[in-house]
Amino acid sequence: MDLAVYLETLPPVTLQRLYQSKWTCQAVLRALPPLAKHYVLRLLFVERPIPARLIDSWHAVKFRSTHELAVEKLARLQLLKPATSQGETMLFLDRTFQASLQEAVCGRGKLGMADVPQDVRQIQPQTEQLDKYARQQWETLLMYLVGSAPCPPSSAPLLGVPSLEFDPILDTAGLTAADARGSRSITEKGFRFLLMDTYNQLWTLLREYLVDADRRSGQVLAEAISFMVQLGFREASHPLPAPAHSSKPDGKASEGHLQERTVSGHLAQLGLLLPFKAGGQVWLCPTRLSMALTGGSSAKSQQDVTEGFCIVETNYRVYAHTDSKLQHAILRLFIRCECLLPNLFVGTLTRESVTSALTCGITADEILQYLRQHAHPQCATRSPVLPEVVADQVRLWQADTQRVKYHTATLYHDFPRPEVFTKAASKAKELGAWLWEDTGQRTFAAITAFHPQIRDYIREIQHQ
Amino acid sequence: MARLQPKGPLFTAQERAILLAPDRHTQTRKKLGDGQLLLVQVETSDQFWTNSSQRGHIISLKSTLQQLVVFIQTFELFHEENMIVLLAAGDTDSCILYASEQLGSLLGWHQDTTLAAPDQIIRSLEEWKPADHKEGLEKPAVSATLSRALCLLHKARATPATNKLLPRILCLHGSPDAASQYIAIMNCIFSAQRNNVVLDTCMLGSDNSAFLQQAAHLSGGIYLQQGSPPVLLQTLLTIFASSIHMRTFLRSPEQAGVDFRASCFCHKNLIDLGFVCSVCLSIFCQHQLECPTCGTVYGSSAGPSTMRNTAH
Repeated sequence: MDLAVYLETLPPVTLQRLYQSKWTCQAVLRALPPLAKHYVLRLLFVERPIPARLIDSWHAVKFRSTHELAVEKLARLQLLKPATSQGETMLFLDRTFQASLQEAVCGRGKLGMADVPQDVRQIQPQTEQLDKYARQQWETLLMYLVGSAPCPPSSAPLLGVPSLEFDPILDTAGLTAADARGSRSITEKGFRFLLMDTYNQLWTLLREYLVDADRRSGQVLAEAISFMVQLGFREASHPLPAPAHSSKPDGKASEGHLQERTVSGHLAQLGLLLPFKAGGQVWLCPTRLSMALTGGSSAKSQQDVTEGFCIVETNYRVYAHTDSKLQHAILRLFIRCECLLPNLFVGTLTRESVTSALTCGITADEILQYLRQHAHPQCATRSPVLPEVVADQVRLWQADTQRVKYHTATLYHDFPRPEVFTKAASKAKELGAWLWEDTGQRTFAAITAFHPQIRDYIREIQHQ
Repeated sequence: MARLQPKGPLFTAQERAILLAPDRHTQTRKKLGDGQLLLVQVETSDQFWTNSSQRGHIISLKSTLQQLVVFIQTFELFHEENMIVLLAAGDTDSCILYASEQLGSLLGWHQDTTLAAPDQIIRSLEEWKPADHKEGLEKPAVSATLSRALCLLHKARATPATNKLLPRILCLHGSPDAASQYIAIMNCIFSAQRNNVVLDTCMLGSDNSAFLQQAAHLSGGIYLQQGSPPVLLQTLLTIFASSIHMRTFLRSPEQAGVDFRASCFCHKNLIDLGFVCSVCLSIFCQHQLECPTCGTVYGSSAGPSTMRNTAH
């Protein structure tokens, strides 16, 4: 789940509105697949439509399919539009998008510190404080998801906006489900969500949040997205002034209007922004988490958002240098904990621990991906990051669980005559219900679902 | 004409180039990310730009830099890990005009955060006073800038974050070759090869550079003689924005032929065919009794059996 995939689901009219923001356009460019990015670059300053033939000749011969995927992706995002001229198919880059992106690259690129007054700069929160805040908010949310925290992260009182309701978002995202008694519990999807990287987690949640915004109106959605991705293009710790309250003093998102201030309040609650007060005005400082908004799922942004802490040895032992309760809880999902120190988790990947995780619906690849993503910086430079023997074994354990299939079966025995047994068994085979037979003992087993048919058939032939 | 051949065999320049080039297919490039570390060196020598304006080129240094600014901003936007350094190559000196944010401190270049990139570049160019023009130096020192560029890239790759980036140098060059710089440029090419640095060249004027052609050929880069200068930005975006990985997916301009001529070590003449020392591969246009580079004495036993008729 990322920005590009999400945008594909939106109607063209909404996309047009989105492309009016240069921030959104920049984020879209980054979210595109590499080849598609290059095509956008080549067309960025081309004013007239160019023949589709020409674009088809850009790729190397071997990579036809990659090329087609890239062009298709651009078309789905309404970026590459067809036109006909003198009987030839021409293509051009969406004019709104082109203009916005041109503005972005020709003007001032990044939002700098220039517009931040000196006194604000002096009292702005330090990097450690920002990291701590981001981690605390995000982990509280995940802890709430797994049920170890009593309530979701609280909103920042400085902004004075109504706080975000997490329950409906988590529910619609399918991460939690309410049972008959009304108590929430984490679903299979929720477990897998825990193992995802932060970028994907963030977008899974934000998507639900945006769907909600979309329900209000397209304009609201465009504003919300533009505001969010703009944060991604700021350097962490370059503060911005909090958007002002609208004319309505209560600041409530009434009459279908979701204001930037409300959005920023919600993002602060998620740990993407840290509000602070300077000179009678509220400022917002983006944290590392907000870098993930536009960073894509590349290695660097991963590193920026989460620091690696896992060391996996070839003897299946895992050392995790972290004091986070949440990470301990996640690691316990598939690792047998052997020793717990204040800042170190030592455990072993055992057959039992991994199988129990697999039965929760987590796949072997997700486990490995998690360990790879959170690899200690020193291990991350090794290739492969995880010892091959461990990776292979985890996959084998998964294959093991799929080796045996369970069927509810019925055993048929004590047949009066051999021919009744033979006929009944072949009937079961005909129905596709047959599982096993022992001709000597005149016994066979079949899937219970077919029992009525087999029973009737046996009765029928018994009396013949 | 018969010449006495030194101990080593006689090679054509092309054969020697093949001999020197490591087998590019077996060369294993370290698996790196998609992010790039690009160093653009642009020729700012007065000589070239005054000449080119006299010759009626529409493009000026200022407009080149403006187009480069757009390229830099696009390049940085293109991938979140991309980093870029802009190096001005003057007659005798070079100077960093711009460096991406994280690189500035690594390279000891101080960025004024209050200025936007375009202003920054123009200002650092104005502030930079190149060393006095030396008499007798007829051509700008490409090799010196190239060596500095390689050093900067090496320095920039010192941190774990930048170490994963694909290093590349793009020369925006205009002046013709100076034969005297052959050895220095070849040494740069070899050290670039060793560090997996790709050398791209985009010629700004109408001249061709044999040395930079060889550089692109040996390091797997692209050499492009630009037809019409005003479309520099489009050329940069179309051809020179892609990383070495992406070039396998895209159809890149092919080099029609590489000028493999080398300049001899003794008289700095550009030669097609010459004598090569069998020990250090130095090239000479005349037969030598002793290699001036490595001091190898060629055996006096080189009798008539090693005589060979050359094409000359």
